Amino acid sequence: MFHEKEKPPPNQSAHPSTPTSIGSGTLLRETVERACTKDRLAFSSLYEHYKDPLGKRLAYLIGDKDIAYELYQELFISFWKRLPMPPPLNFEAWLYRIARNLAFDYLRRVKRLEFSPLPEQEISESGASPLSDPLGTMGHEERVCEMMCVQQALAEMSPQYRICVLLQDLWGYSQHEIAESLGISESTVSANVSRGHKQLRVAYRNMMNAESASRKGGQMR
Amino acid sequence: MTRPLHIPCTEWAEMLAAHEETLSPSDRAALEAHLSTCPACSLARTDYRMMRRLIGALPAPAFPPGLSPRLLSLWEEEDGHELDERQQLHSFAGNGEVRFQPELEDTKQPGNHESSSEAVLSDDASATREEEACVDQTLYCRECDKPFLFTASEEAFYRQRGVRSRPGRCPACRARRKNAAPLDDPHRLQQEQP
Repeated sequence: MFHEKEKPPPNQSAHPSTPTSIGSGTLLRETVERACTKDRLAFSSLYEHYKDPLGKRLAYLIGDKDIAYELYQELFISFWKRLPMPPPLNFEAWLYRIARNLAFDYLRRVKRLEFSPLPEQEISESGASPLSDPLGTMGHEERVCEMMCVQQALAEMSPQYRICVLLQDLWGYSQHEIAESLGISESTVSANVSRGHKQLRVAYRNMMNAESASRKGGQMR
Repeated sequence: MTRPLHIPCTEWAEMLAAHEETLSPSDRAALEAHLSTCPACSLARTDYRMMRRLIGALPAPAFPPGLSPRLLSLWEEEDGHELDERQQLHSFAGNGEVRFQPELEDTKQPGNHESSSEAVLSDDASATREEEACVDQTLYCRECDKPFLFTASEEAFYRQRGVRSRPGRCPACRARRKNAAPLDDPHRLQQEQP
């Protein structure tokens, strides 16, 4: 999978590419159709469009951002080499399924169990999605801290639980789909998700408590 | 003995940690009835809902900006092959003489390839102006010293990605370099590990 020769990136800084807003409706459909007829610009647009949503799904499932980037590139290279004709009706589900399978292949091959949280600086720069705080009651620093706690809690979770929890809560798959893709029973998936949530909750609560205690201590000093 | 607030009732713990959508209507109704009377279980449910929201809102990692270098090099390779085929046709045109006539025989219009998706992608008028300025050029390979064609559309394609320099090698030499085994490639080592 990783045998292709890596080239240093060309000088792209002069024209930094910005994610092209192709939405999820007709424009996306048109872009997919063009990309499937070997239109490179449409294809590049899809590459940019899915960088964030698919990049994060891969990064947390694999537990390593750099490997996730390799898989993301691999995904689009395989896509380009075997452009589906006619384009799949539900392109997004199709693309996500291929990405998920690539991630599973990788996890099976290397038996990777570790999970490396994203560095704090990167979370801070990403703006620590306000989605986590729908009421808008938290400051930026608190949101970053919360995200760090969730990532740490995921890192501490048993890998088989983590995969089921992430496939359900981050990838949005049903337990039936997860059971099929992992080749395990639905009741095992359900038990893994349930235990994973319990572990996550305990770890998250402990960390948030420790965090608030240290902050209070800092204020008193 | 009072139970710590954050531990839900044992008999409801499994149901609380499960995804709500997976519960049957009767289970859900029973759970709701219990939650209205149990603060610990109610807090656990709030926590689980928040966990799901937080996982869904995890930030995306910062991947390198721009297109994948591997994809760009794949495209470059494809262009090289295409160019090789065209050059062969050009070379054997006419009286059977081996000649190179890119200016006369290349009918590909600059920017044709990109134009179909311009409406979707191009928000930069200067990019279009730059494309117009591109012309087919005959360059000489720094390795084999043979002339090769660098078409206007190729130039426009690379310019759009911020690559402004001309290729130094002909497609054949480029392909040869690319096919050379990348022994120092860390990914290759990774793949060969058991």
